[in-house]
Amino acid sequence: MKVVHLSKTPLACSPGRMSFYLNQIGISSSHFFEQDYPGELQGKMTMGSFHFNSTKESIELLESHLAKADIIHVHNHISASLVALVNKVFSGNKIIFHAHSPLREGPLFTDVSLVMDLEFTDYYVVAQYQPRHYQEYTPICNIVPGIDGFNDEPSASSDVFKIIYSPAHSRAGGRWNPKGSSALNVSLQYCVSQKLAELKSPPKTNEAQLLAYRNQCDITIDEIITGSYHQISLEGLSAGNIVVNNADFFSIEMLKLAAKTDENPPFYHMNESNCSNRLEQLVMMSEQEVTERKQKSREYFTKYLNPERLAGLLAEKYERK
Amino acid sequence: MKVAIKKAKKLVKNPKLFFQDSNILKRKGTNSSEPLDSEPRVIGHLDTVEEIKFDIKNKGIRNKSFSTLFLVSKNIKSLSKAPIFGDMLKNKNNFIGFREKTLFALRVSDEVYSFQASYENLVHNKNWHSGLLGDFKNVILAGGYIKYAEFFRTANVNVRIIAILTEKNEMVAAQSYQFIDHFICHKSHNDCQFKKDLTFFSNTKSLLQAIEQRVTQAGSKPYDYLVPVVGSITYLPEIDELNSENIDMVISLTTLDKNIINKANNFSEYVDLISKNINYLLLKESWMQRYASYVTKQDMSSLIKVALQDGARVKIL
Repeated sequence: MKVVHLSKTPLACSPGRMSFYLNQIGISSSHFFEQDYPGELQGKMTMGSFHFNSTKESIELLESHLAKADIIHVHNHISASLVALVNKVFSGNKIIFHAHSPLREGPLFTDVSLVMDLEFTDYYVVAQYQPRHYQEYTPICNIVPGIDGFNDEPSASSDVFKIIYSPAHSRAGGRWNPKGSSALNVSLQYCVSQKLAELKSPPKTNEAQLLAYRNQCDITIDEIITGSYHQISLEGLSAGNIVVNNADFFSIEMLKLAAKTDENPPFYHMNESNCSNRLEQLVMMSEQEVTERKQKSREYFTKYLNPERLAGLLAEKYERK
Repeated sequence: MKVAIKKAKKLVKNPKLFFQDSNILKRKGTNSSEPLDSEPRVIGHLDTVEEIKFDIKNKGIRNKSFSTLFLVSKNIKSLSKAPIFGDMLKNKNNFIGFREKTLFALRVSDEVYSFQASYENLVHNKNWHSGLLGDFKNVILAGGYIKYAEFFRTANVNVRIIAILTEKNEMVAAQSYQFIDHFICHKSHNDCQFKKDLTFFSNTKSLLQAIEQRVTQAGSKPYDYLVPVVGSITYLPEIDELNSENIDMVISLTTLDKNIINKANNFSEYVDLISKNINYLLLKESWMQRYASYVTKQDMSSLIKVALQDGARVKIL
């Protein structure tokens, strides 16, 4: 089986990771993206992905992969010229549309599988909040890397606990895009000023290094306002952090559905009304309790979300007629 | 002589309109609909002759929670003659939603239109996905303009799309239903299959009432509490907390099958399964009004699906 993943942007490394781990389990896969992030994130959100930038060499490379592929896996929206290239060269029988973004807000606004001139055979959706917008599509869990041997046993920092919170640029407005919370910021500032916690906001770096930084911390904060979890929560579990979010029932159930487990992920919930209490409870926990919770996160990840297992689940879905 | 008296009365009663209609001040432009653009109620154009050209001028909208955009044909020479819109302008009850700074018209060219073909342009058009369009709570599409439902629905999370089908109009395709929030249908279309909030009218008066009702419901509510939609609960100790926590929907399940993750392939199938085990369901009053037809039919699965699609914040007990 040969799979080519296509996306306009790196999409926070999601397709790149999928492609990488498919290769790890023996399925030939490659990922091409059309335009990289500008500025600091340029070149940092890929995992062996190829940048298709309409140079002669990259076109030839893409064409040769497309011609050999059995499956095309399209993530979000790709340009009309890339669509035309696929239609010209691809001779396989499976074209997958995979939705990563919400409806009624940017970047997609509408179901773009109906906009692109491709004959899709399968429809996937990221298993966070997105299944509410694409209710018939197959939920797929994002794949994030496991941690290397340098940090086998998560344990609490001996001094103050380290919180890593680095909200990426998010679109303003909308129901699912916003990420910032002033209530949370105030609570965090309070904890830091009272020396109850240390706040880490590492500079923009490649995704592997960011994960390594995360591994040095105790608590990962995703976002607490929409009711969903994001890729960062999964990275937090992988890094053996206590993961903070406000994931609601359906977000969690879709995660379980996609990862084929009936066990709830060990998220630590807080919302805008209770975040100052919940945060204080968290940073005042004993070292032992924090260590236990960190290990629970790592255990859950290793058991259900480890990349080879999720890549295997994805491969199973590829094989469905 | 009679004309002079009439005009004198007009000058006294409505000086603005007098001068506007007066030949002395009439513009010399060749485009006879140009004066309409300067009308305070006209806020922009939707021009689909070549590609979608969509502009919305910078006008002050008051009472945004009741604000409404109404599509009228570019061929209309006078707003007071525009079908349905002209009647709304009369505003005998001085309804807040029909006042000058709340109800606006968008002038549309009646050309062939394809949302899919215009998509690439639209995504780069800030007038469409940001800006003034986002300030309108309601967009009213009558008859042939229902085809723009996707155009308006997908641009904004909070907008309400109100579709109106008169006796003359043909029924629209069911594919457009997903982009419509409220459907007001002439009673002759009694086979309409729209599910969320469907209401019928027989004359202009009942049509205007139905519009007014929906605009009122969509406007801000001073008190908006969780009310039971199905099942019975006598007392819920955490109800005050839930009401203040910004939760739109509360579902209590009798059981949750651990094996459900193997039985459901997607979100829709999942909701179908859990809907069989609902103990009770609470919905904020304003939300319940949006899905009146589902509530009447007690179709909980569809209700949950559409509420979550529309962004309801949910808690499961």
